[in-house]
Formats: sequence, structure tokens, C-alpha cells
Amino acid sequence: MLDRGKISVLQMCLSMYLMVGATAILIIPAITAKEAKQDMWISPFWGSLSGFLAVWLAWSLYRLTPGKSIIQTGEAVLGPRLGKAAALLYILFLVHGAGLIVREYGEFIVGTILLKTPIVVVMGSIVLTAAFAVRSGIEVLGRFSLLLGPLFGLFLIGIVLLLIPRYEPTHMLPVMENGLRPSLAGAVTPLTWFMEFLFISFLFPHLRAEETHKALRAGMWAVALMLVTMVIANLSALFLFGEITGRMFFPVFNASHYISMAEFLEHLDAMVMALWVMGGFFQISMWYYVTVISVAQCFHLSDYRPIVYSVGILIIVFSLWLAPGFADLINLFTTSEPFYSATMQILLPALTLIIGLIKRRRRPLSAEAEKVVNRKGNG
Amino acid sequence: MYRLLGVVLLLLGLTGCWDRKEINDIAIITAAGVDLTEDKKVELSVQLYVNHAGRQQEEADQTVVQSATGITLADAVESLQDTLSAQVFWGHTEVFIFGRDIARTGIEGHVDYFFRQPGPRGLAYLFVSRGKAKDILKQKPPLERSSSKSLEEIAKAQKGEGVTLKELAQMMENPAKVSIIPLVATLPEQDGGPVPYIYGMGVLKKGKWAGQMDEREAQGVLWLRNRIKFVMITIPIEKHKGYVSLKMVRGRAVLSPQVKNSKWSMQVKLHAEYDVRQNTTNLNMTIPADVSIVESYAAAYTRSVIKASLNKAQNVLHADVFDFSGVFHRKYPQEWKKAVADWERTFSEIEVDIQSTAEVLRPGVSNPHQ
Amino acid sequence: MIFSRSWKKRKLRSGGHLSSLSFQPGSDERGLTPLSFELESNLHILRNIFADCTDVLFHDFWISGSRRAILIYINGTANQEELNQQVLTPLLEGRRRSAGSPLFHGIIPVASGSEIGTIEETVRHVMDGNPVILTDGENTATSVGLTKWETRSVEEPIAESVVRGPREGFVETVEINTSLLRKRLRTPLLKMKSYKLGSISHTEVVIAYLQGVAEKALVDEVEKRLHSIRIDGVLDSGDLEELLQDNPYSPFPQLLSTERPDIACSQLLEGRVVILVEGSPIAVVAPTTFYSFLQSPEDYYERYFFGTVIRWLRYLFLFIALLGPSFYVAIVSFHQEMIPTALLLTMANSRELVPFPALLEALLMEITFEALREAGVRLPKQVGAAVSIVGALVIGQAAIEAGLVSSPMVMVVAITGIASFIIPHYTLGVAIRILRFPIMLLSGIFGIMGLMLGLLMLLTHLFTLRSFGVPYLSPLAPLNLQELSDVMARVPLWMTDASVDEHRGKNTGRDQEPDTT
Repeated sequence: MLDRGKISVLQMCLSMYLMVGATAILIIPAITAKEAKQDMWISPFWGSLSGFLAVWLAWSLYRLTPGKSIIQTGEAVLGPRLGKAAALLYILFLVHGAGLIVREYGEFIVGTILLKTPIVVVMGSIVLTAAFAVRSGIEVLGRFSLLLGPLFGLFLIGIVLLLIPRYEPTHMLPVMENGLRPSLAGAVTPLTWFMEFLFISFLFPHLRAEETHKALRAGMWAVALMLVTMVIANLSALFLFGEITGRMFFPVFNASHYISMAEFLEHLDAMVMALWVMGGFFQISMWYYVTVISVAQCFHLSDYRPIVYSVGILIIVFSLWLAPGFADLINLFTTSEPFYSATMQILLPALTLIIGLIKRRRRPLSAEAEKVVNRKGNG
Repeated sequence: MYRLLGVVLLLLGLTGCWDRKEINDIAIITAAGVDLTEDKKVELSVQLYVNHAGRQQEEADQTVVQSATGITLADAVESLQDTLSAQVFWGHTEVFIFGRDIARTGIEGHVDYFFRQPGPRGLAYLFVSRGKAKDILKQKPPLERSSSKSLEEIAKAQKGEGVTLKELAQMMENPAKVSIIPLVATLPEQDGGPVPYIYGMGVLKKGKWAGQMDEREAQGVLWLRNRIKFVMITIPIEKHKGYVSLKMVRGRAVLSPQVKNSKWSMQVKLHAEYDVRQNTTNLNMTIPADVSIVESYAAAYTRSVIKASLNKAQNVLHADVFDFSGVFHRKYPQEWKKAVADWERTFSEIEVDIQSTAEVLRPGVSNPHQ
Repeated sequence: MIFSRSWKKRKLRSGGHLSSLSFQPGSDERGLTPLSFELESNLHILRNIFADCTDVLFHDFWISGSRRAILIYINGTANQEELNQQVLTPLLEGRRRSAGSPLFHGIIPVASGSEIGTIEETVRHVMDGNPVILTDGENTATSVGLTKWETRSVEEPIAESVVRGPREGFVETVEINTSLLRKRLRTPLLKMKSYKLGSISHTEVVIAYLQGVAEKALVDEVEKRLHSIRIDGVLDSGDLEELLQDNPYSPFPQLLSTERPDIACSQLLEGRVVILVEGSPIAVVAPTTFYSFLQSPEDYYERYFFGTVIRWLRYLFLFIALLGPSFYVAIVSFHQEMIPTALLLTMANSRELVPFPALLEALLMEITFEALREAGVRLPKQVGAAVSIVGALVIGQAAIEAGLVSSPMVMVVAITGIASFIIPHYTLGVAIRILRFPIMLLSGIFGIMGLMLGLLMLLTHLFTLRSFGVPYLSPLAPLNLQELSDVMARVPLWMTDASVDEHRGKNTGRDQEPDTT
């Protein structure tokens, strides 16, 4: 095992929540609002479906080949050559995805607060900070999740609560005036995002043996948590902005502008940015970590630490290259990204699972695999 | 690992910080005004805070007004920046004023500028001035440090009149495309100096000036938008030879739209609660019978206010200042969708049934013996 | 427990060994030189060894008038009176006794001492302050336990004073320190193991732990690390701390140091190991967590409500001490929108005259403050008070008027300074003071984002740090909800396992001991 660290189920749950969700509520509400308008709070419900599916896929693959992540499972099930090909595809997807996340974060910082700083500096600094955390291993990341997860949630709730005086709930009416179409149309990007829960597969091997049976449930909880967060964030933006929600690029961030309590607690945008640096840091660290581990597993390296910085540079390069400007970035989210994600995060794992199950029917499981799989009545 | 970090930190120190702005390098704009020049250019005037440290401490002259022109607002800002030694800083701009002339040509583009930047705050208050915005900015009122602070306080002052940038943007996005915005003018020279005040409400259609409503009509608008707050009304009661002044404690409007056989109507139920502030009639505010007389007068007054407002909006301006469009949209989405294309006409023909009630809660703390 | 591997990789200072002393390697099976029956030959060797040590005295006398004996002792370290009365007098006048029997049996009325048989041991005992008697015709020497080093009396600890609580502090002598521990924990389960470290200093080091409460693996690890130290002199517990810690590159202390026996005892009760070093009034405790440094004994001696509130105050001020100036610099240089308008205008006024950018101003003030603080420590007491007042008020005011700094900056620095004093343990306070600066730099370059990045890097380091295998941020890091409750609040004693009344006489908490009272 490359990283012998162990994490608890709670840490896993929070890690996944932050990995998918931290920057999700940054940009996605705007994209959703454009399509769904006042039904934008329903879209996350549709979106979460892919999340539950992804977690279930990851878990099923894990049961098939316990102790292995999807990269290793791919090799085990598909055979050395096909498996390596699939692994390489994943690596490409991961680097691209990590670059996407980093770019999203960078655009946010440069677009709102640090307007003149070159984006490469912003992105480089966070990738470097993340590199330190990644190098320290999954245990450190797990501990971070325990700290940052609740903090992130509390901050968010704080913002939402402080804005209550300015909400106009009538903005959500009329509900579903155009039927299901708007909310479904707005659900495309959330669907894409939720699929990333597939990467929980990389965390399963690090659970302690006695906790493994709780893994599926914890994964589902993470999806549910993210769902709730997105709904609250969307509602909050909707209640505050109403018709102009689709106009804002970072509605939740803009919302924080409107916090004004006792004429003192005002202008808190920098604090909100601090919150997002935290969340973004963790999300980027997780993606970074998964990418590094994938590379290490694909090429059967004995230690992942030497490649950390190199992968980091790769990620930065990708983040600069994948879209020339902000408009292209949004375009990417709404057009090609859903298909790319669906292929890599749903189709490919599903295929692997089917092939694996077929193979298993022909050959019974090894004894130790049986033990892990059947321990304590898992889900 | 730490060595790498050290190297990186050192390198960063050499590059310099791009976004660093010293407090003294920023030009703090407390209010901004947009006017139209004779040759149809945009003139931007900003009220800047002036720093007095090191010079003589004077109470007066805390702000100074500077102007610049350009083809668009952004262009004007650039010209302004050229004349300023410090960087334009919108983070503390509380007030935006548009001159009447530029309001006629449409403010939508300008609002877009303010909204697009991360700087200006969505909570800033907007006004349209009777004359040139620049003149309002130049005033130095006696009580506050600048006219912008005065205006900000007046807008916030609890009557519900103030319109923020965010609200304006929302109204402009609305399908009916009607926005309201407080009108501001200067009270003629008083002892301490000129004082800005709000004298009515401007109505914009698609961001362009369409007309105005006076104070009474504006009150009606606030009522129907359910925004009315602590107004004070003074009602003449001739039968009892005097006036009663009532301060509102709470005002609520319930709007019930109805569409029947292509007939659009709206039932409006208004309820207000008042405290008595002054009584020059011979009625006794502690006798319930007398109090109900006052209440009925108050209700009638409100009714007349709403009627005046409706009249202006439906028959003169043909502008849905009350956002009936939104109310109908929420209740009758299908019908609304059909009607929204020609909303002005539909709106002008909406029958409004007004039911107004009033309650006098407290007569104050003392009552003359009557 | 996983003990840190990095600890082993470090190079330890190599020192000589006893063999550096100049005489021939000995002839017995340990390589040591046995004493001969002839007094003269022993004396010859010993005088050679102690040549030019004029404080080592050789006193010639006759036992019972018949046998020649030499008393070797160090001037000023042996209890002269006792020596004369209890040792020399009985020997000089005493009854005859048979040759070969130990002098103690019935002759010298002293409670401690031993028989030694080699030159090396003789030297060792003399150096340890024990007078040694060599008798002609005996091949053993008698070491008398009459050491009396001059020592400070037990006083109030200087650096760790409390309002409520005992006012005893450790002193420089290890025997007195161990007695202070014994006084509070009167159980045979309190084990004390003694070692000698330092090839030249031969400093006595005592590790204390409660058997059954402290994990065996921990005690073993401590002993193992002590055994692998090769050094010429251990002068203070600080030396030991440096040599025992897991991560020498971390600014954070990984062993708790305290001058108070009551703190040491409470640590013992929690299963930790206390290490006492001869010559140092500071005891060192292993393992430790970040949170231990934020505890003060007063939290526990006062009522729990007070303890909880003060604890939270400390956490708040910990953040202020670390992030205060950075936050100010970030806001003032990058995020002026955050400042309430009225305040911003005043600040603009006061900053008008200052030629430096905020970051530089902050660095200047902070460095000056640190210098003042350090200087304050070295000042003689009479000058100290006056200078601190002068420094604080006058210099600050003058600097503002000279236009070198702005008044908000002085406020920030003052609050930060006060905040850093709130940290009960000096070693952590130092770490925080130092770490303030890189974070300040980062926030001066990148604003709040820089501050957050610095904080995150710091957290990464803290999450990986371990002290003797225990993660530094327990109980927060590996989440332990039970212990977390004690971090969040000072749990009242009646809520812990310690109980009163119904179970009188039966402490179900950390009790491991059978009823021996």
C-alpha cells in the first residue's frame, strides 16, 4: 500500500463532502439559475441521483476487489493491458478535473478580490500549499476534513442566517410553472458534479477494518449532506436575488455582500473569501491526492511522494490551458463536461463492474475477499 | 520541503504584490452622480473624501467633488482616474444619483457598469435628482459629514422609500420592466446650509424616465408593494375642528389577484396600526368612540392615497409600479404568460378593490383633560 | 504507537567516555582498575587523577589510632560538620573492629553510603560529592553519603505564577525535586529511574512515571531515547528536550516544560513521563499535545465555570496573537471595503503621514516590540519597571508623532503583545511569536488569501507533528470526543470519573492501586 494511513468513516464522509462540494456552491448556482430560474432549488435533487449512483458503483467495485481503488480494480478485472489503458484515461481525466477545480478557484479569487494578481500566482500558491498536505498523506487530509468540514458548514449556515432579514421567499413562486423542464435543464451541471463522488473509491482502502462495513452508508450520507448544502445555497441565492440570480457569477459570494447587522457586521467579502480558500484548499488537495495516487498505482510505484510536485506542475499547466477565458470555462461546464464526466465516472466504472461480475460468476472469490465483503452485514 | 517553501517565499517577495493598495493610495468615493452633458456625453461626478492629516484641522470641507466626462460610464471613470492621484475605490460608495436628464436617456447601461464590478456595493442607495446630480453632491449639509451621508440616512430612515442598487437591478430584470426610484432635491437655503431631501418617486420604464409621483402617490406605491413602514399622516377632521397626526407602527397590505373570464382584478386589503402623535381636535383619545372616528378617517385617508396612486399609475403613466405583474405571475402563471407581452394594457385595466382598515393603538403618554 | 523515525536519523553529539581520563585501562573483567590493599598505591593513582584539583582534599588520619586512612572529599560539597562529627570522630576514637568488615557496621552513624572496589568508582563517588574513605589494608573504600551541595530553597516559581494554587517550584537539585513529587503522590506506584547522562558532566537524570497509568511502551521509548544520547554535557533540561523531541525542525515544542511540581504531578496522573535533570529547575514532560500548552493549573483550582470561560478567552487570544498583525495588514492593504466607513476615514487620516506601506510598518513595530520584550528580560530589576513604562508609552507615542507609525498599528501591536502573554507556557508563546512573521509576510503580499494559505500550511505541519508517537493535535486530530470535552470546556470534577459521597473511599477514576493505606 502506498499510503498506510488510516482514516475513520466520519473523516471519509467529510472529505468527500468537501471534495465535491466546496467549490460547487460557488459557481453552480449561477449556471443552474440560468436554466431553472425559480426552480433552481429543485435541481440539486435531480443532481444527487448521480451522486448516489456513483457511490454505489464505487462500493460495488470495492466489494469486487477489496482493498483496491478503481485504478487497481480496473487492472484486476480488465486485465493488464486494458486495465492500464483505462487507468491512463483516468489519469488524464483526473489531471484535467483537478485543473478545472484549480481554475475555478483561481477565477473566483481573481475575479472578485485580487483583481490584478496574475491567475497563475493564485493557482500556483494554492497548489503548492496543497502539495504539502498531499505529501503528508491521507491521514493528514482526513484530519483536515474533521476541522474544515464543520467549519465550512458553520460558516455557510452563518451566512444564510445573517441574510434572513433580506430574504423574499416569494421569489421561489410559482413553483414549477413550466413543469419539470426548467429544473431538469438546470440539473445538468449538478449531475456532473455529483458524479465525482465516484472517487470515494480511493478512500475505501484506508478505512480501518472494523469500520469498512459502514462505508456505503457514510458515502450516501456525504451525498445527502452535499444535496442539503446545495439546496440551501440555491434557496438562499434565490430568496435574495430573485430574477437577477442568473446574472451573478458567484451568487453565494455576492450574497455575503448583503450581510449588514447593526451597521457593523458589514462588507464581509474578505471573510467569505477566507472560507473559500479553506474549502478550495481541501478540495484541490483531495483531487491532487487522488491524481497522484492514481499515477502511482498505475505505474506500480513504491512511493507516491517523489511525484507530488511534478503532478502539481502538471495540474497548474492544465488549469491554464483548458479554457482561454471565463466564458469558455462556463461553456465547458455546460457542454462537453457532462459527457466527459459521465463517461469516465459512470459508464466506465459500470462497465468494469459488469465485466467483473461476469468474471466472478465464473471464478469464486478468494477467501480473504469473501471475509472483507461479508463482514458484519454490509450494505 | 521547508527549503522549497523558503525559496518560494523569497521569490514572492521579489515579485511585488499586485493588488496591494495602501489606504492613502485609494480615492474613497462616498457618493457618485451621473449626468448628461450638452453634447450627450456622460458626466461622472464623485464625492471624494479628503484627508486632512498634517494640514489644519477643519470641520468643513471633508469632501470634495470632482467630475469627468466620457462616452460611456466606464469611459468617464477612466477619465476621472486620469485626473486623480489615487485609485478609484468604490467599496464605500453608499449613494448613487442619476440626473434627470440622463434618466431620460436610460440608466440601464450605467446600472450594468455598477453591478458588473466587484467593487460597488449592492446595498448602495440610488436616487434621481431633480436637476443635476453634481449639484446635490456639491452640497455640504450641516449635520452630517457630507451630503452622501445625509442621503444615505434619509434613505434608510425607516419609511421604506430607499431603493438599493440590487433592488433596482431586480426591478429592471422583471418582465414588466418598471422600476421606481426616489427623487431627491435640495431644500432651499436654510440656516446651516443646503439640505437634500426626498420629494417623490420617479418611475422608469425599461430604465428610462417615464414620469414621477408625488409624495402621496409614492406612499401608495409603498403600500401596494407592502413596503410601507413608519410614515406619519396628518388627517383633517373638520367636524371636530382640528387635525390628528398619527404615526404608523405597522402597515400591511394583502393583495389577492383574480382572473375571471379574462377579467383581471385585484383585491387589496390594507391594515395599519397607529400611535397618536398630536391631537388638535376636540376628540378625546381615551374614549373608544372617539378613537373609532379617528380610525375611520385614517382608513379613508389611506384609501384616498391608494386611489391617487392607482390613478397615476394606471391612467397617466401606464406603468406597473406596484409589481402586480409579479403577484399575478405567482398566482396565475398561465394567464400571466399570455398577458405579459402587453402588460401595460392589461395592467391599466386591472380593477382594484380597496379595503382599508386602521387601528389606533396608543394615544401617547398623556391626554389633556377634556 | 508509532514513534518517529526522524528522531533516529539525527546525528548526536559524540562525546568522550570515562576512558578519556588519563590512566591505564584497568585489569578487571570490566576494564576497570580495582583498589589494591596498599593505601599508598591507591593514593598514588588517585593523586595523579586529582592533580591540580585543589578543591579535592586528601585528609590523612588514623583509625582508632592504629590504621592509616585517607578521607577524600571536595571542599564545599561535603557537609563539614556532619563529616567531623559523624564520620571522623567515631573513626578516630572508636572501638576496635575486625579488619575487613565494612565501616558502616556499627561505626559510622550515617544513613547512606556504600562500599566501592575500583578506582573509577572512587573517582565517581568523590565527584558526586560523597566523601570517600580509603583504609590501608582494605581493598574496598567506603563512600559516605554526606553530599551537601549548595542549593536554592524552594520558592515560588518565577515564570509560572498563579493566583490560586501551590507556590512551590522545583529547584536545581534533583533529590529535592523528586521529594516534591513524592510529597504529592505518596504511592509506590510512582517509579523513579535514575540515569547518568553526559560523559563529562555525569548529570543525573531521573524519569518518573506512575506504573499502570503510564503505558509501558511510552516508558520504554523514553528510556530508549535516553540511552542513545551521546553527549559531553547536559546542563539543563532544555538540552534534554532538544535531544528527545521527535521533530527538531518544528517551531513547536514537543515536550512540556514546567517549574511546578503540581503540574508535573497532574501530568503523571494522566500517564505521562516526567523527566528531571540535575541542575535544572525545569522538569520536562513527555508526551504532550498542543492543547497542554494552553492549560493553566488555575483552570482546575478555580471553579469550572471560570476555567471554561478563561479557556475560551485563551483560544481567542491565541488566534489574535498569531494572526492579529497579519489580519490588520491584509485588511488595510487589500480589503479596505471591510473596514466600516467611519473608521476607514480616520485611518486614512492617521496613515497619511506614514511613509511606509502597512506591511513594512507592521514588521518594524513587531520587531521593535520583540526587541523590547527580550531586553526587558535581561534588565536588572530596578531598571526594569521604569524602562517598560517608558518603552511602552513614550516610545510608542513619540513614534506616532514622528510619523514613523500610525496609531492603529500601535494598538494592534499592543493587543497582539498582550495576547501572546496569555499563553500559559512560554515555549509555545515563543513559537507563536516567531510564526507571526511569515504569516505577516504572506498576508502582506496576498491579502487574506495569503493569510489563509499560511494558516493552512501551518495546520498541515501541526497535523503531521507527533510527540512520542502521540499526534500533536489530539484530541482534535484523531477525534476523541470524550477528551475533546475537556478541551472545549473545563469539565467539572463531579462530571468526570472522580466522584464524591456515594462512593466515599472509592475513587473509580484513575485508580489502579490496591488499598495500601
